[in-house]
Amino acid sequence: MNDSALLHAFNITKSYSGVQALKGASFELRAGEVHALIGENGAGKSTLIKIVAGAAQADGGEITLNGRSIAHNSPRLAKSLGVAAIYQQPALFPDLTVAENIALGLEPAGLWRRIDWSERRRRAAELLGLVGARMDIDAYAGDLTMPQQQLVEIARAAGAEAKILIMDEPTASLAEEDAQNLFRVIRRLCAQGAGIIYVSHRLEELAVIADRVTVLRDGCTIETKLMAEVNFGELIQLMVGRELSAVFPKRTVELGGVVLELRRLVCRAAGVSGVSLSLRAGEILGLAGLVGAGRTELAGTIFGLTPPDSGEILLRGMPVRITSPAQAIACGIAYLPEDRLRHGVIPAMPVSANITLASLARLSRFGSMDFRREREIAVDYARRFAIRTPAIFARVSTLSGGNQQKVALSRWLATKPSVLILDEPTQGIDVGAKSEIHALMCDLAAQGAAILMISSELPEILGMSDRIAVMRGRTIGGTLNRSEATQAKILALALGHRN
Amino acid sequence: MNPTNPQSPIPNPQSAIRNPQSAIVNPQSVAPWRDRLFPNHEWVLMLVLLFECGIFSLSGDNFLTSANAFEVTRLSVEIGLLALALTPVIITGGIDLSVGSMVGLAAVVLGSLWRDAGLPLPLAAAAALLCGLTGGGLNALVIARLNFPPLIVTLGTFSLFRGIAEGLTRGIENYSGFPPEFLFWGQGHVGGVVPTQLFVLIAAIAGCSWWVHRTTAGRSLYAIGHSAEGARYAGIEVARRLTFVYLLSGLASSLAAVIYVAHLGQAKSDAGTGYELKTGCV
Amino acid sequence: MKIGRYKREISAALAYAALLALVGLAAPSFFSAANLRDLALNNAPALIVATGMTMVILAGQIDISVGSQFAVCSVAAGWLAKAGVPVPLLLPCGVVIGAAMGAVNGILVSRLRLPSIIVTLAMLVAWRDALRWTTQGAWLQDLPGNFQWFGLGQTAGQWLIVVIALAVVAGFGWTLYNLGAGRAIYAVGSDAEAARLTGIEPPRVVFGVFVLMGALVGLASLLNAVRFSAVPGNAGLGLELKAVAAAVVGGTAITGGRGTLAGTLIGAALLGTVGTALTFLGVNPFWEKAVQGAIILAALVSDAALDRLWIDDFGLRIADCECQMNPTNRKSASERGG
Repeated sequence: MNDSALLHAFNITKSYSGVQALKGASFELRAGEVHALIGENGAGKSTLIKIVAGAAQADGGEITLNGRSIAHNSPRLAKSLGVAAIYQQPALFPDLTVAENIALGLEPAGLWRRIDWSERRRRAAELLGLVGARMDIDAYAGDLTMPQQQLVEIARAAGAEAKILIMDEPTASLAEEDAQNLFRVIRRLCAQGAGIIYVSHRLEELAVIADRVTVLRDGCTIETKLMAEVNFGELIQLMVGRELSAVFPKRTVELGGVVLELRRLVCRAAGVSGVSLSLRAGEILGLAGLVGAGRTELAGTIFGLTPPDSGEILLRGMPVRITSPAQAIACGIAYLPEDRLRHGVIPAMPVSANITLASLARLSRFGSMDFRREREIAVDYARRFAIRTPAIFARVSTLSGGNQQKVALSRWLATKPSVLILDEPTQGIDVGAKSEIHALMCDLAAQGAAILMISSELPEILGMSDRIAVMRGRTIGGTLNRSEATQAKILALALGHRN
Repeated sequence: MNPTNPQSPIPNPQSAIRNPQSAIVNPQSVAPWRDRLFPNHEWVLMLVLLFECGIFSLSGDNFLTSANAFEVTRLSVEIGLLALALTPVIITGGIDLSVGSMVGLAAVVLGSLWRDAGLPLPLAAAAALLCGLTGGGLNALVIARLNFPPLIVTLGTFSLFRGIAEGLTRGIENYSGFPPEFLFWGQGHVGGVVPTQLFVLIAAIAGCSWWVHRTTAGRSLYAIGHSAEGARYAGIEVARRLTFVYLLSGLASSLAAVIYVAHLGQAKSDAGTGYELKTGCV
Repeated sequence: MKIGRYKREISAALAYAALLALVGLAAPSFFSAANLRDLALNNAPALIVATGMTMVILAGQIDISVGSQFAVCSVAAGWLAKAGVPVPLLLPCGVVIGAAMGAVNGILVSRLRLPSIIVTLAMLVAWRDALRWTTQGAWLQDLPGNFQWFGLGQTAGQWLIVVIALAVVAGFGWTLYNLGAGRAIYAVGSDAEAARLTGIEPPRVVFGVFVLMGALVGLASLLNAVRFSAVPGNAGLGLELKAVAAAVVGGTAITGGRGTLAGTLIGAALLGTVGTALTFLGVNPFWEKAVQGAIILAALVSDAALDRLWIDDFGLRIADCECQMNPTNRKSASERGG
């Protein structure tokens, strides 16, 4: 271990719901350095920094903070040891003022301490000035824009006088000028001896600010290098380095006519700005992009969760107006959401009820529910997709992730959709279920369904898609054909980096 | 980034998270009955209620004697109706505190229209039911369309309905002297034994349980109660369902009021006082 | 400090001022010392309970068992007095009994993670029926002579009650604004997960708030009981709704994190004065509840109107979506669950 190491994390493991997020990641941070942490979506960056900050507990491995070995980390303990963090999701209190949001991050957490409001406000103004933000310190944080919230987080972290400062995509929503201010602050903190863990997808930025870079892939540390000694091409190679691990059952299908067409679709509330796309019968269109690129938001806009402000949605050449999921379903659009437990299924309800929930109208005989038909449908899908469940009346929460996903998918197939939007369809499920779902997608495409597949897993995108659209900055950054697409090309489009 | 509403029932993904592996085939994993029946932790209330019944039947003199059974049911028809109307509300994860007050208001509307405005009784009763629908509509508007928490909204209408009833009657007016044909609905016996209104309750129970358990609409209510967000993603029109549920609750309250008046032979503004929380736990 | 932050408190205060002005013009005798003292005295216990309720709501919870707790504390105090416990000790006894009942709620909500509305609804029924069963509905008579007004005599006793109530509001108001504990209540109610990340422990705060609520109910029940020479077995009926209404009308957001005790004071005063004011205005006081209900609904809907409801609501929904749609954050839901 290096003498000047502020943080030493060794062989950290962590799993969520049976999915291994970290499989032995190691990381070291020295005083006075900016250490970048990069990797694809789902490589484990966020999990690793949460463990360091005490927001999540590691399953195994060792953490040493400031030379002190940590057994049970918590936000409180980490804070007292000089760790401060900026998460990707601003962790601000919407009902409290900017000044108080900053103060709550800086002050000790004691319940009986006296609040010095004028000191709070003075300090907040000073810190906001430091990061170059102009805003009202008495405004509610909930009323701020995304970039403003990010600046508040940065000011809070800058004021924490932390020895270890963690920043997860701090510039994701910042304008150029604010980003420059941020770099200035970072350099100042480093000069004072702080160490900074810097997570970012913007490689150009890393060249400017980072001293060292560690690449994570599939929950493992791949390599740590001096930033000055690597170029972007190498970094991208390290990030995507994995081979196609699974054999994808993709078949060539005779493509039919255009089923779904989007023309300059805009939804300000969801942040979809001018998306044009077309999707043909039998086609699987992969939608790639980084987190926050607007893929899920686009799906929500097509599905009527956040109706579009302008632009057109055409189904088989006919413009349709979709303002609610019910209308989308009536139009033959189905959407398998990303968050399985919150949106995809209703965990506390039985398998059968979940499968028929979106097609209840088909089961209605004069309003009365046709239970026999429901059972038939449920048993049919359970057989066809080999859903492993003790009974079709078992609650979905008792199933494994993969089987839950099959239930969610069954729900949408029961509506007989012509357009199927799949949002991270195989995320967090085991390998067997994954290939079953892939096979299913191919069958559906062969039967003439048009499939839009959002995925953060590049091998899946490459293996399953006929065509790949890459989103960047809430619109389509480029489209690649199956034959020309490579991981590096997709990543380059997603990062907006041209070789 | 908004916190989940602390008042809303929390859909509980924990069980899936704790044992992801065990789930492949597990013959024991039939859903615990209490989660299926009571998506929103009503079982806590149920336990308390059962506990109480136990204590009362041990200690009370004639709480569970069969001689009293029919007369007890007569008394409980009004509460039973309200409980019935509240069932769909609670299934959707909401609450309606205003039902007891609506009984008072509808009773007063019935009494005053009949006696003071000289309307024939059937018309007055219809007006009382209409009043219940209107009140339910007010709740529905503010809860389902404007998205305010049911607890606070119905707390407001709880006070509002009772207050209008008291204001209309100056708190003292007591309408009585209803004709015997009307009182039959609350005091008569069919076949010499069975109280008349029991049939109304049985019909209502049958209708309500058919609706809740045997129709597609009822199924969607459960989905909303388990997870309103999840139901929306499955294409269920949450606002429309909620509107209907609160309208129904208002209507049932006013029906209970009509029977209450026929039962006691008088209409007063304090009818149904304290029913809201009583029925909340039935 | 920006005025806009207190718009709900200010609009409630303006409504109250308008009411007072109206009554003052129509019936100046409203402002007689005797009437004002009666008003203050009648509303003091509810005000104390509303103070606790405000803190519970600020922390993002609700407690509708307070009416039943109130009755239990009243009767318990009566028994203790009859059993010979010296009168000055009754106050701490009542507070402790209330705090114990609050602790039951607190444990169920913060440790077992049951929704507070269900827990406290169950407790409302449980305490009320347990009391009915033990007292059989009888009033407690023949209390020691010095029970009424704590043996201080009517005038001093009345002053004591009003002063204690105002001191409670002022003391907790100061604490909420000036101590770390107070700010922690706001933080937890605003976003429990964000609070956890800044080193606050939400379960502890929630538990503490329920205990305080119970203690304040105990205090309020005693201040109410000593006004009479007998203790009824059914005190505090409907108190929970009164307290919630006062907080909401005073601008406390039912979703937690926003509100002040100054607002609650105004809300309690407004709702508590309406009845008497109607009498002085020559309106039948039986319209009181209707006006109170209308005030509650108006407070809700005016909020929405002021904030241009539809845009706000829409923005909220989007923010929700974004939170759930972010893949790197995809485990956070399960984390919160576990």
